[in-house]
Amino acid sequence: MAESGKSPRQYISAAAPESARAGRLAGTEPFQRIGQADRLGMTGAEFRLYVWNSLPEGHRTEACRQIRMRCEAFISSVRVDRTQRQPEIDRLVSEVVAHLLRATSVKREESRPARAQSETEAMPWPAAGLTVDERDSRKDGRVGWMVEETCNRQALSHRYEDMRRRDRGGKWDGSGYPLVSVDDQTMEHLSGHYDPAADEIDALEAQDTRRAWDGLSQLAKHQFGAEDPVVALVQVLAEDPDVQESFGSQWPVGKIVRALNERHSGVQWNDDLVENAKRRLTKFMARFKQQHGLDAVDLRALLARYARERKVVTGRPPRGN
Amino acid sequence: MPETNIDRTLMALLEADDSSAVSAAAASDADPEAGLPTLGQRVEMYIRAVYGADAVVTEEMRAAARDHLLTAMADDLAEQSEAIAAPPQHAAVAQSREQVGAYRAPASVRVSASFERVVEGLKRLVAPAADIFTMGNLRLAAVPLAAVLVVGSVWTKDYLESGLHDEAGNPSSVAQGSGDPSDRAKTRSLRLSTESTAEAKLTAEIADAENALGPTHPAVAAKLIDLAGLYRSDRRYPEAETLCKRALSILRQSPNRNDAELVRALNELAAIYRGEGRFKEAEDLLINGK
Repeated sequence: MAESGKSPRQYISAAAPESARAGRLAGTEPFQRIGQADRLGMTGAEFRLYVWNSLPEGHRTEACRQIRMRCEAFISSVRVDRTQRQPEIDRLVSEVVAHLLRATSVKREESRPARAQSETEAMPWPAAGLTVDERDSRKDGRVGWMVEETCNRQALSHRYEDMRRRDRGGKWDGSGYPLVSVDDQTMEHLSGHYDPAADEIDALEAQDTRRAWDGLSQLAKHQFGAEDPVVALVQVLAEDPDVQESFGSQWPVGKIVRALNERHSGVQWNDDLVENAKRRLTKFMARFKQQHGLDAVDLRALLARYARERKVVTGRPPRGN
Repeated sequence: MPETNIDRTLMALLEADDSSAVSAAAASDADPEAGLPTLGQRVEMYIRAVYGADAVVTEEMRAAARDHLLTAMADDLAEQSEAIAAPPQHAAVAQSREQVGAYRAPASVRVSASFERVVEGLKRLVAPAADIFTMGNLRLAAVPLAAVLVVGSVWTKDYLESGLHDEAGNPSSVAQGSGDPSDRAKTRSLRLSTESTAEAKLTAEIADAENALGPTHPAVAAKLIDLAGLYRSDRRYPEAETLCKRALSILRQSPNRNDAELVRALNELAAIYRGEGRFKEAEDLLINGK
């Protein structure tokens, strides 16, 4: 409860990105409605993770306890078989926690907001009427806010849906029928055209590599814009066998220039342009790895998953999901 | 698996470290972004939150947590990209996907979730007004909300009544029809008449398509599915099922796959099974396509 005597709940519910207009995509909105329009330049997911990271360990433990209680109440309300209840609760908790910890920070170069002068100034708690208590987790408004943000009814419905999607290949929307991500392979099964030999030829590892390249290309578009030279550079690296053949610790700049000029006749590519794109790309990736504490293997896995998720989100037909 | 050039190039690129860029970027960043935990830290947080602080952590648990978190992070990235790109077909695709499914939630949950969606929709509708009318703890948003409900119900009543009167305000031919005092019966009569017209039209279209394109053309299948839907809405399940199975057979044997129609046929047949209470068959159909 806030010092002012007002219930913080009304602010919390208004601020929760989960309940905002675009449903699940709303997590990308900055927390404008909490009263601090983008002063930290974070998405809702980043802000939640940032707050979580800043909580003392005891506060996190208390928040986890409350999250588990909310999950138990939710699972009870969906009438899961009694024998399955505890495993379902555990998995829902893990889903909620993974969702809380998932935030990635990718911002386009030109859209980086001005930084807040100080962290204290930027924090929205006083404006929202929430009390910050570093010692007592039960009196700390941030804990209640965090629990409400991650475990409101709608958020839990979404996490439960994620669980089911993972289990059954379907999406539960709480209203009857799940969405099923129908991929090529499923369609081949359904239509009777499925050829199991094709699976063996197309090894999983190779698929993953292609997805990772696809993910890198999409991430570059997201970061720099679709028309940027960096995107063209990534595409050449991903697709040109000659360039790949010569790629090592030194970049085959000459071959890359030739390949780019063949592909993009409208632009006169030269060494400087490629070097510039290369520098921006490596800088971006190094920064991304550093921000998220990823090594190359992690980043490859993340990019492959990103490409797969992106296809699911945009609804484009997957190529071997 | 031997390392291929494409894989080697990818790893070389991902391993490339621009240390000067990293340090410059780090130096130029204020706290907020530097404040996000690394993957390793997230794994530790995840394990503590899910298994408890006292849990004995194995490498398998750590690997599973890492995997789960990477998937969740990819999901976040994809949603961020989607929010920027926001292709207009997204809603349509989501809707078409929604028509295919394998799991039916308990009725209470469906009702509850539907109610929540309605409430959410109304909230969004009156959100601007709510911001204006909010005074302390008193939310005057209830006023525009109530107004919307009242106007909606009056409009609905007028709309329904207008179907039973002509432009001059006299009772329509349907309402006058048989001398039956029940408007509901007359409305039903009108509906049945419309359905029989639609049925005749669709039957004719099927015949035309069969004559023009042959009985196994996918276009015929599409019409069959339409007619099956009509029969289903009229609870004529056996006829609907026969049509739908024929459509499925055509689509499965067609050399040119039409995924959208195939999904529609499967969904329609499942809906017929559901209508007949044959839930197991509906589930089998949607999960296995059989």
